[in-house]
Amino acid sequence: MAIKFITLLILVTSSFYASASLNEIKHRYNEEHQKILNEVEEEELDPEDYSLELKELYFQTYQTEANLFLKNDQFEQSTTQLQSILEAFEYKEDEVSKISEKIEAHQKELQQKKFQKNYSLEINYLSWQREIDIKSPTIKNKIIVTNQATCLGGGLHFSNAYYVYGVEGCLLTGTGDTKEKKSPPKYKESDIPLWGIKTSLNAGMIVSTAGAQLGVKLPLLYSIQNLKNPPDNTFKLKEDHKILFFPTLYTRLPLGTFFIQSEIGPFLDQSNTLYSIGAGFTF
Amino acid sequence: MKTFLVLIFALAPLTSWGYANFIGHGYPSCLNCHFNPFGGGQLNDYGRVVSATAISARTFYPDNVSEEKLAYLSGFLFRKPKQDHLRLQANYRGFSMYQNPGSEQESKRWITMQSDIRATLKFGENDKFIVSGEYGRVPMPEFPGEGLNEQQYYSRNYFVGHRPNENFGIYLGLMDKLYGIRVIEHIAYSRSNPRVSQNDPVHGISTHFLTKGWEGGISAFVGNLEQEPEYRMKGASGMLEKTVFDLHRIGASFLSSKNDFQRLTSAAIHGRFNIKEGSAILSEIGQTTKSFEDNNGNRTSRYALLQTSVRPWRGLYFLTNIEYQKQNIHQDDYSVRIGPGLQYFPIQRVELRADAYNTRNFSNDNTRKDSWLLLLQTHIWL
Repeated sequence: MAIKFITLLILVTSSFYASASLNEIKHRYNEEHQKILNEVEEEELDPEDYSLELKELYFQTYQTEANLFLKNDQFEQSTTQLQSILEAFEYKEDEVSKISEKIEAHQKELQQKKFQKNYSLEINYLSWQREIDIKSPTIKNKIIVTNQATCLGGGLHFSNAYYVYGVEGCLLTGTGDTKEKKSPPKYKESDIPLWGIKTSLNAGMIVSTAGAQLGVKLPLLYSIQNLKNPPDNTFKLKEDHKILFFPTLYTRLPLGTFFIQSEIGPFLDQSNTLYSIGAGFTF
Repeated sequence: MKTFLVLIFALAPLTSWGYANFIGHGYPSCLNCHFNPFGGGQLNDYGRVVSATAISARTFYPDNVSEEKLAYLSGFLFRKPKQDHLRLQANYRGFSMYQNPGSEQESKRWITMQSDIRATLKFGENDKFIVSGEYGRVPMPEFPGEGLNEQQYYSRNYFVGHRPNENFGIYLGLMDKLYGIRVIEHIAYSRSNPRVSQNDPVHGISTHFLTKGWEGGISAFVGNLEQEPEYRMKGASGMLEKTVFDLHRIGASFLSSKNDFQRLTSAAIHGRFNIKEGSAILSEIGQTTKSFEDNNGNRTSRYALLQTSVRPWRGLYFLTNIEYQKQNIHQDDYSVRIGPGLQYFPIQRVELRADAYNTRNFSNDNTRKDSWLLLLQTHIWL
């Protein structure tokens, strides 16, 4: 009995310094290993039928594979097999359970870090202001045009559990109003049609398990809006077509596969703000 | 200048109503955290603990300070109450207001809008009987309000309540009218149009009921008795909410009131949606009709509110308020006010807030630059 214990102690101690592997088990205990696999599958394994030495070898192998996975993210399919064997052996249950929990948590973390692609279809209401020069040979003024439009489009997004990056685009159509009543020339136009395109890059954080997002967008807005020159021919309008750049903050809040979103920016100029509110769904 | 004064008038009394967006923390009912079952006013013990352990950041606490310790410290004067019957709270709230920052019309000022003490006496099993109220300096410059005498100190909330069981309660005193979502932003069109803002409390009686799937109440009121009689808005209001998908609330409310000069009726539907971990969506759409004795200025206005609240980290909330108002539904003009805001609770009892409001008017007859407001707010309570 004493000799058996010392032999086991030497084996166990030495195994701390050696990297146990499934190959070693297969090499030294091939017949038993195959039998164990079958018995685990059939749920017929009796732990008393196998030596403490073999059980310890399985445990060391499991520990080695777990450490490799936690360090290098390389998960061996045999790790799951080893876990089942050790659970069937009811050997070092607490330690096996702790290792299994670590593996599971790491698997979950890796899964959460993995980026996945998804698409969205969305409709947004947006509004922005722009300043347009109105000039005569001697006078130059700026007039404010307030626009609003509906923008229909979609996006491509890459997201994991923490971050989201994407690109979006939509076609917009709407109207604008302008009226200058203080400075010459007195000028008014209402319901000026416009159409255009808005594209944006976005980067955000995912801040809830439901997928609520908070981030920044870099939208480019190209619109065509034909304003008429004032009738007296003295004044001319400049720049009917323009590409506008509005860095914005955005939030997107999901309700299942549907979401609502808003964006506003850039907070730099009193008459140069874009905001939008919209809804859509992801697939 | 006139517009500026009107804005000050409107903005000064930002107040301590409940935070309806905390449905995102899984608290659909105000009763969880407030003595007043419809929200606002003094926090109860549980509300203080939630504020300390779920709402406020713990960045500035050492790691060895446990959540239990934070909960213990959340009581009045930083300790757990030693008796069951009296609860106290003191509040200070002030803010800097900048109008059109960076423009030629830039202006700024500091306003102290709240400095009060609150007390609640409670007795019986599960606090069956409560007496609650607050008293403090009047927030200037909006006082005296309509039909009120000039005063230095005032109370805008006091009531007695009896809750015979957990499902039902009845309350009598000076309270806010039951209507819509009590968002903290009292300048919201959804508060100003139906006149349910912080300076519109009324004396009356309210009932409150709460079941697993439903919550609501009805109130009858005789106006604010401190007002001259002809200004008192007398009437009734009610609100009903249903829990949907175990997480969200949808609801409806109505209000009808009148004094010697005007009659006001209003109705709204609303939704509060829990997007988890503190993130939430609040929405309300309503319509208010005001008719005057002389029929001058009669109008029906329509409003909408969408507030999104996103919590990137514990203690920090990014809010976006999007509001729509059509002052007269028979005219084309309307306004959209949109405002991003940051709300930060760095430690328990301290709230810092920065809000930017962009107001844009849509009109065929008038085009002007947006107006911007920046509000920086500090709120401390003991």
